[in-house]
Amino acid sequence: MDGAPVLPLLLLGFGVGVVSGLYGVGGGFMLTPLLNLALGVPYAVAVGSGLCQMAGTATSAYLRHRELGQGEPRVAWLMLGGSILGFHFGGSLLHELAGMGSWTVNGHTVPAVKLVLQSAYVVVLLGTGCLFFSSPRHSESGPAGPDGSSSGSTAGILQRWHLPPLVNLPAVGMRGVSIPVLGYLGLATGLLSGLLGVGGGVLLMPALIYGLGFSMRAAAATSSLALLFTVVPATFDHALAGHVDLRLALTLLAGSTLGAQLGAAATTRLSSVGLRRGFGVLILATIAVLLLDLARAVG
Amino acid sequence: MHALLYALLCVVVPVLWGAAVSRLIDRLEDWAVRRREVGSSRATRRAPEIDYHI
Repeated sequence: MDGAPVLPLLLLGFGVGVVSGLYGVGGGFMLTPLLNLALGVPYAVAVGSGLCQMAGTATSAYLRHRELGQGEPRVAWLMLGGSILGFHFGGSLLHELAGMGSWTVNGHTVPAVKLVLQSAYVVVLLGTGCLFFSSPRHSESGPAGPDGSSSGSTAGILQRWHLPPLVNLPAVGMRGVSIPVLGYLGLATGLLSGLLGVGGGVLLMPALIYGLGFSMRAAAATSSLALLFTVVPATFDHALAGHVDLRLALTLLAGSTLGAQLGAAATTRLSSVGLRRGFGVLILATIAVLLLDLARAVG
Repeated sequence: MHALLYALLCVVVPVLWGAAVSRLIDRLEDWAVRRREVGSSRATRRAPEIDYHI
């Protein structure tokens, strides 16, 4: 990307980094569409380069959360196998879409990969945004674990599926969480990562909060490590396919690693409800941008 | 082989970068804490002793 201006990339990277540190997400759900819409980066390269940048941001955010003693590393380890399978399938699908050329919709010619990916983004983000605007009561009530998370008495949906083998999560005060459920969660986040260039946090965060009853802080910290385990092999896979522009990724990274430190440190100063609502607003804003662009392309 | 090395570079460089930035910020915070501690201990030593046995 010889023509990509440095300053907008640095600013974009910084903003994405703050979101990453604050919410334990990679920021790819914002970064990939913005790289394509604002800077004209092809979708496949935006996905691969975004993942490369996320590897650095996730490392920085995870180390910060570990310093603060937040999160449950076992969740990330147990999701790892599913993540690897998932991003491999997602990456293959992206490669196929990129080779499909353009489709004609409503008399307009639109790249197939753009149409499919932006529609998929809207669907995924819509579901996530709606969850984050719902009542926060169930994940804030009940006896708190060491990290302020909920215990089994107010458990989320996923925690009620007692598919053996089960595991205890002592760092967040939970017992009897299903390992297969965590594996499938890893598969889903890996698929999102390989296909859409997101770290999987947009799915993992609501799954941890509403599915397993984590507090927002514990979910953000746990998601940082799971994110790292997903984006590192996904980046490798995309780089082998020629989808990573290292210069672009490192420019984004220069801004985002500082932003991630700021965001992670800010989680200790903000309430869980405020964090949750802020995340919901961010997601809905991204959906609006994507829908406007889709409407412009096919309208 | 070239593609493999490039792919490794795309993974190793950002991870090392992220770790280095995190470490740098930790050291800056430690330095700031030490400066505050040194500043407060100097202020305590300089405080005049009050003679109550005049």
